[in-house]
Amino acid sequence: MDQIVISDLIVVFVFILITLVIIIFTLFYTFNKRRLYFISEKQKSRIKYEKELEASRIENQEHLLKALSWELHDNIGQLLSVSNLQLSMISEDVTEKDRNLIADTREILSKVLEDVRNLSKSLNADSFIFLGLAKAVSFEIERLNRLRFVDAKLIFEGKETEISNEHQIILFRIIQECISNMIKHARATRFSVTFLSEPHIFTIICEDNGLGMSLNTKNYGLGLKNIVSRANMIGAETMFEPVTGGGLRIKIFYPLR
Amino acid sequence: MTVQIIISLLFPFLSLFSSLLPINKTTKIDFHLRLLFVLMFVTELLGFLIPLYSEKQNYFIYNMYTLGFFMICYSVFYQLSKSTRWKKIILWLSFGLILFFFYDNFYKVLFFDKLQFKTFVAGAVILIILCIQYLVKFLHTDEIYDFYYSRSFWFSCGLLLFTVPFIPIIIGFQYMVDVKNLEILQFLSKVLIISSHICFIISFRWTRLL
Repeated sequence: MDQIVISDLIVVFVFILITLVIIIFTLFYTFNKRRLYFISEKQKSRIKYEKELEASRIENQEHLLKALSWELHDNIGQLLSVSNLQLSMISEDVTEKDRNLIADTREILSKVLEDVRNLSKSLNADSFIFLGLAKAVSFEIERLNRLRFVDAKLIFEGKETEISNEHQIILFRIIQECISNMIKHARATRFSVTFLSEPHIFTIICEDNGLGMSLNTKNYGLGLKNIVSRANMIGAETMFEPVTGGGLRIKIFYPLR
Repeated sequence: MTVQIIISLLFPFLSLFSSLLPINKTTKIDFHLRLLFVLMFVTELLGFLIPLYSEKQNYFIYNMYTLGFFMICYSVFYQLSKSTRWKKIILWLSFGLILFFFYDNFYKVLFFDKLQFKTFVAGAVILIILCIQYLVKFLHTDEIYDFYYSRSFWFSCGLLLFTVPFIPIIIGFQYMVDVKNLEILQFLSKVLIISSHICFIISFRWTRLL
């Protein structure tokens, strides 16, 4: 081949090579970009779907709790009140010894009635909205102390914060889940809930001195999973850490907007 | 036997061989692709053997191959297309190319004595349009998640890699350069053949069950 042919060959070869590279690059760049876009869209829709699913699950749960609360308040509460009234009527026609017995029974019934009403309040989100998060949690703490499960206390640090009613309900249910977990598994003697209010973040710390737990996320039970999923729903973050000397500390970081 | 002839025979054979090996994912275009590779290999083999054992030129083999190649490629895109409108367009374009082939070969060009040019360019332009149309549709399907493993993607890619750079070259050689050295054209066509066959081989070997 002469010199001109070789130079032509090189020019055309380079041209082809460039064309090939451009085609390959354009194809793969476009397809990969589209692929990543599809993947991110799929993830977004999955997250949205999971949130909607969780929201509907919580909504159903709230309906159930409300129904239970009404049943406790309107039916069982009424029956207990009527029983109390009837005992009061009977007590007038009995002997002194029986009257004392009836008085003791009435006292027990009154306590049960009060507990049922408190339980009804804590189950019903409507009454909770009326009270506010701090008051509702303080009722729960009082209930724990009254039942002598643990020595419980509520601590406030920082200013009062404004949180929407829907988010307050979810935060309250998270705290209830922490309490329920502590009662069921921790065998604790002390329990505290701390509300820590900072300019951009509201932190809830639930701490007990019980058995603690394995912090491997794979070992999370339904309770802890519920805490995490509920927190995720309102954009809050959760942290589980062991307490020195035994116990578990659950922190919920709720961003204030 | 020169290196160029070896390449011409070896790569279609490799594509055919890879398509005949057991595959873990069958698609509706497998038969068409195997037929295409058979056509490629047989054409190259006859193109090599005919001048060797007879006085005849091998132009008619390649002229027939051009039509066969485009018809099979169009049928692949016909199979792949989900749009009735595009299926009709592909049928009409195929019919048009067949008419153009007869006009170009038997009226303008001597079928046995010269390599056709216009039919190839017309066929290649149609093929590029079909490839791009298919790939654009492909971008909007769920298959995009696994496009690396899609046989139709790699096949379209291979066709584009061959036809897009080949059209300006063949036009350039036809009109702008006094073609005395077919060697350049042949050498370049071999580069394109290798690149497209690599894509075809990948299309059959690098797939997985979805």
